[in-house]
Amino acid sequence: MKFQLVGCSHHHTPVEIREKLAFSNEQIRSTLRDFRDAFPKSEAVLLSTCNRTEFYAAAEASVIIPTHQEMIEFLAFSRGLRADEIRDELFIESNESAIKHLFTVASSLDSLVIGEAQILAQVKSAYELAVQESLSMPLSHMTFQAALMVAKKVATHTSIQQKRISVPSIAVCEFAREIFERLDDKKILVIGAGEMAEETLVYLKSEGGKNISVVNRHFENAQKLAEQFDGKAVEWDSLFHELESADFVVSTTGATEPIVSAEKFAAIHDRRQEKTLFVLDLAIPRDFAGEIADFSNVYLFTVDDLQSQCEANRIARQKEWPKAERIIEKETDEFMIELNRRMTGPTIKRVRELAAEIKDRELHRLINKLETNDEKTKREISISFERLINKLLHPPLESIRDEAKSGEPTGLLNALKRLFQLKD
Amino acid sequence: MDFLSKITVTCFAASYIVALILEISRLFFRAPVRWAVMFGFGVAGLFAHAVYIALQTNVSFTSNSPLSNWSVWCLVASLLLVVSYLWITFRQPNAQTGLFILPLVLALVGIAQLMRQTPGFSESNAKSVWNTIHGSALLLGTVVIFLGFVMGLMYIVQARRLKQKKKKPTRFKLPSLEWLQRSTEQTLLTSTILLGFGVISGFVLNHINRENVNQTVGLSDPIVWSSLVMFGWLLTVTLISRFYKPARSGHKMAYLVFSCFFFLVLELALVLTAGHGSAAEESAQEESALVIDDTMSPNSTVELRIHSAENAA
Repeated sequence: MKFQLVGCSHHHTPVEIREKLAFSNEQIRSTLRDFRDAFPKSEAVLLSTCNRTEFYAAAEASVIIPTHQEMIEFLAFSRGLRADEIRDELFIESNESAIKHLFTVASSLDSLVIGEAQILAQVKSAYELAVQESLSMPLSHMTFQAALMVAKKVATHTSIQQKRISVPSIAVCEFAREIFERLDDKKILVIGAGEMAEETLVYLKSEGGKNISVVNRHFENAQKLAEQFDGKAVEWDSLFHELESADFVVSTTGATEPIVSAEKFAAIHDRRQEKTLFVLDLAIPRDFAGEIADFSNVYLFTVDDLQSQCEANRIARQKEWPKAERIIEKETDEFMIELNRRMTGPTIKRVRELAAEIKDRELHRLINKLETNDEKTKREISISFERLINKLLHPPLESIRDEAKSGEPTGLLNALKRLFQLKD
Repeated sequence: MDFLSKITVTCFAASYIVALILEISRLFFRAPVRWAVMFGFGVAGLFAHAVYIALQTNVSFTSNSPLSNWSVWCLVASLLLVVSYLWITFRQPNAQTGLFILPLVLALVGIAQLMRQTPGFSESNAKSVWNTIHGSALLLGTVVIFLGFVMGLMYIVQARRLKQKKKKPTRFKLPSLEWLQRSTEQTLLTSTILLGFGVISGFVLNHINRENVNQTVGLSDPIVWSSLVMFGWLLTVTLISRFYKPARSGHKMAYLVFSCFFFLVLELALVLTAGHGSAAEESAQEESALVIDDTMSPNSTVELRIHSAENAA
C-alpha cells in the first residue's frame, strides 16, 4: 500500500494560508468526488479543521497513487488557487511517516491545545465523509481505524492529554474546571483584547464557554475579538456593571496600575450576593488588587500562582511525552508490518495456486498411469505431493514474511514473480 | 442458593475495605484497570450487603418488619450510602469521593455490629403503617444528611485548596465546587422534607399510642424535643437558604449541613442509647402509664412505681 500526505497546520503555515485552504463539509464532498474522477484507483480523505488541512491519499501501488505534486495541484485547484501560491506552505509525507503523522494528529499530540478531544472526532468525521463519497475504502479504513485505536491507547496509557503547559490553558482547563462544572451557562468577562485574551478565548471556547463579553479601552478591538469568538463587545465604562454579574473574569490589559482595587471591588461584592467568582489575572502588572482574593467566594489567580502548576505539568509532560511517542512508534511499526504482510498476500496466494495446479495435474497423470483403484494408495500419494509442495515453498515464503517485518519485501516479491513467471 | 446464606458482615465490609484501599492507592500511582476493579468491589459488596439484609429481615419477618431493629436500620442506611457512592463514582469517575463516603459506610456497619444485641422494635411498632413511615423517613433523611456532610466536607477541602492557591494535586481529585455546592443544597432540602415526614409521623404515632395506652409522651421526652429542635433548625436553615441568596454560598451551605449532621449524630446517639421504639421501651411506657392512671389507689401506685423501676433497672 502507498500512502501520501499533503497538508498545512498551525505549526508552520500562517493563518491567511490556512483560511484559504479551509474546506466546509460540502466542499470536502465535492473535492472527494472530483478526486475520485481524476484518480479512480486511489482513495482519499480530507481533514479540515481551524488549525489544519490535511489531504491523505492511499492506493495499492505507487504507479496509481497521485504524486505529491499532483496532490498539491489538485488541492490548489479545489480552492481556486495556484499551486505555486501554496506549495512552500505545505508539508508532505509518504508511507510510514505519513501514517505516523496521522497517528500523532489523532492522538492530539500535534494539536494547538495538546490533549483536546475534538481532533479525534474531527479525524473520525473526515474519514466518515470520505466513506460516504466512495464505494470502497479498504486501505483508508484500515489506516484510520488504526489511528483511532492508537489515539485511545495514548489517552489511556499516558496522562499527557491532561498535562497542559501554558498559563491560559491551565487556568481554563484545570483550575476553572475545579470551580465550575460547566462553562456554557457561565458569564465570562474578558478584559483586554490582546494576544493573551485571544489565546485564553480559544481555550474558553474549547471548554464550552458561550456567554462571552469582551471589554477594552478601545471598543473597536473589543468588537473585533468578540466577533471572532461569537461574544459581545462592551464599553469600558460598563466594566464594573459587568463585574457584578460575571462568573469568570479573564484580565489581560497592559494597564500600569490595578484597574480593580479592593475598595472598588468591595462595593460590587455585596451586590454579587456571594456568587462564586473566578478571576484569572494574566496581566503584568496585575489588573486586580491582591486583597480581592480575601473576599469570600472569590478565587483570584495571577500568572505567578499558575506558574508552579505550569512547571509541574511541564516536568510531568516531559516524563509522559516519550511514553506517548513510544506508543505511536510501536503502533506505527506494527501497522507497517501488518501492511507489508498483507502486501505479500496476493503473490503468496498466486504461488500456492500455481503449485496446486501443478500438483493436481501431476497427480492426475500418475494415478492414470498406475491404474489403481485403491483409495488408500491414492490418498497417500496425494498427501505426499501436498507435503512435497509445502516443504518446497515453505523456506521462500517464510523469507518473504521475515522480510516484511523489516520493510517492504518488494525485492523478494519481484524475484518470486520472475522465478515463477507470475504475471500482474 | 445455599451459599447466599453463608454471607456475613465480614464479606461486604471486606469488599468496602478493598474498595477504600484502592481509592487510597489512587493517591499514589496510576493503574489502568483499577477504577473498574474498585467499582467491581463496590458492586460486589453492595450485592452481599443487600443479600445479607434480605436474609436477616426475612428471618425476623415472622415477628417483625424489614426494619426490625437498630442494627438492621444502620445496615440499610449504610447500604443506601453505598448506592449513592457507586452512583457518584459512576458519574464522577475521576473524583475520589470514596475516600469520604466509604469510611462513613464502614462506621455504620460497625455501629450495626455493636447494636446486634440490642432489643428489636416492638411487634406492634414495627408493623404499624405510621411506624414504617416514621422509620423510613428518618432513615432516608439520615442518609441524605450523611451525604450532605460528605459533600460539604469535600467542598471545604476543595475551596480551601483553591483559596490557598496550592498546586493542583496530581492524583487527588474532587468534584467541582459548583457541583458540590449544588449537591449540598439539594441534600439540605431533601433531608428537611424527609425528616419533616419523620417528625410529623412521630407525632401521629405518639397520638395513637396515647389513645391506646393512655400514655403522656410530650415535650418532656428528650427524643421528642431534640427531634423538634433539629427539625426546626433544618427548616430554618433551608428556608433561609431558599429565600436569602447570600446564604446559598458554598461555605455557608457546607457549615449549615455540618451543623445538621452534628445535630443528627447527637439525635441518633440519644435514640440508640434510649432504645427508642424497642419492645423494652414500649413495655416500660405501658407500665409507667399504669402508674399515672392508678391515682385512686396511692398504695398500689407506689408498688407499681417500684415494680416499674425494678423492670427498668
